[in-house]
Amino acid sequence: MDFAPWLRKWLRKSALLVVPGCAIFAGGCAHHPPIEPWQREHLAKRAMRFDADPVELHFRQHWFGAREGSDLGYGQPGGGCGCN
Amino acid sequence: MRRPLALVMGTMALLAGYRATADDHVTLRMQYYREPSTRVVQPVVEIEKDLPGGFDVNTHVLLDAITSASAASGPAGDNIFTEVRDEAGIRIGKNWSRARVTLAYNYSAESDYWSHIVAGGAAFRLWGDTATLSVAGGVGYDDVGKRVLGSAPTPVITGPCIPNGTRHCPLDQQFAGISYSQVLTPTLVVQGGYELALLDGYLASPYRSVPQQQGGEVVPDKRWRNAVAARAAYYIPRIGMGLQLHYRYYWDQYYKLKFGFVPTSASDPLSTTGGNPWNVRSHTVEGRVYKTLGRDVEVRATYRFYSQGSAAFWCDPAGAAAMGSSCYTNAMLYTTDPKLTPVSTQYLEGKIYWDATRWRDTPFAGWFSAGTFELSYGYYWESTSYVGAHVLQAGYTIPY
Repeated sequence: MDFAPWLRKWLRKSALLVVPGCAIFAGGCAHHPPIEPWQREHLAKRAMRFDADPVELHFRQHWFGAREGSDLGYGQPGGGCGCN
Repeated sequence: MRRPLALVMGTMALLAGYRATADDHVTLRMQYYREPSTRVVQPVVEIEKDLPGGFDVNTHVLLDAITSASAASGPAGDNIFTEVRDEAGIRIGKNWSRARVTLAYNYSAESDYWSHIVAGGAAFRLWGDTATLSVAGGVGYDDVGKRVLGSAPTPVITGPCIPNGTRHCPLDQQFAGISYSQVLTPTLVVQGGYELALLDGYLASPYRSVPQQQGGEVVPDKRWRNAVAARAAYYIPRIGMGLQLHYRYYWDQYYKLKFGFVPTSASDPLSTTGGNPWNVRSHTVEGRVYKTLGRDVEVRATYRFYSQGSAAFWCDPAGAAAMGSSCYTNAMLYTTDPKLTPVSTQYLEGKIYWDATRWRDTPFAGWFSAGTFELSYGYYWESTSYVGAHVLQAGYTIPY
């Protein structure tokens, strides 16, 4: 297929994410049985959450965005979700 | 004048996924940023409340008091000025057993910049609650003005929009993102994601001058930002220590509505920069160490390293002069923006969390015993003319 150069570049970069993403996805499917509620104690800890402090994150993004030429990628929340 | 996209991404970060803090809480924070040319004081109040029917609402209000005294930070000359930015946002979420949907609105206003952002997000818990798939997206409508001291200049009414004392210029934004996080073991979580933003409109600063051009900077009017990020968190129960590692790769490009670069002539900036006058690339690596100290105290150490190349249309005046040429001969795009030059930064921070349960039986102080105090100090090294900054943050969160 004859992709435009910009699209070819974009796909190549996206593959950097997609390939490990698929591996992780497959790893998730392989959990059988899944992690039980009593095994989730540590997942709820602050150290295991990528969104533990959204207000702090908001402030950091503001100043990094003002002093650095790039932006984005600081993520949507997710993490281990020790809740159940 | 504030940076437009930071608010967008802040909104996006708050959107999808599951909440980290207690369901009903109030957070008070004071954030202080000081570098040689700029000082920022930012008080914030955030309130979250659960509602019947699986709904919840989160609101925040903040004030940014920015004092600046340098040409490097925007206005020409050495005038000291203080600008205030007000921001308010609301997010409503609806939860089901395996899904969460959110809708958010943010408004930010200062004397020369106004922004409206509407965004939505959804998160789904998968594989027996070991994974979260989050998507988010939205639009932003900004309006860029310019404060003018003394007599107002003649309004520009033709050609590209240039803000002045009587004219504002629009900046439209669309953004979206997807992320997937997976619990691999009871002590290991990984996450990957991709985010993009399309910016269309006035992307320069009306205050940043380019002396050789007898006027302000001129930058492309469209920018497509991309970032992929990966994170991992690992906990060591035996010693009560958690480790996090984050990596982010960013790239951006010019775009046209038909999604293809169409240089029109040899002198067109799109042609002279290979079709992409932006072409900023950056790597960010961040590591965090969490350690619990007893029952009530946790400390966190953070180190972040950031490195980027320059925008393709940026030209180093000293380098060009050494070569016997000039950056500005026949140039159609030019800027003196430090963050479009090659930049590297480092940030080192220490933070302490203290659960105030010890105050439970103390008169007066006992009122605060259900909450958590936070205090952090960090130093931000910058390779640009901004040099570096001290960052101090203090906060208190209490459930109710």
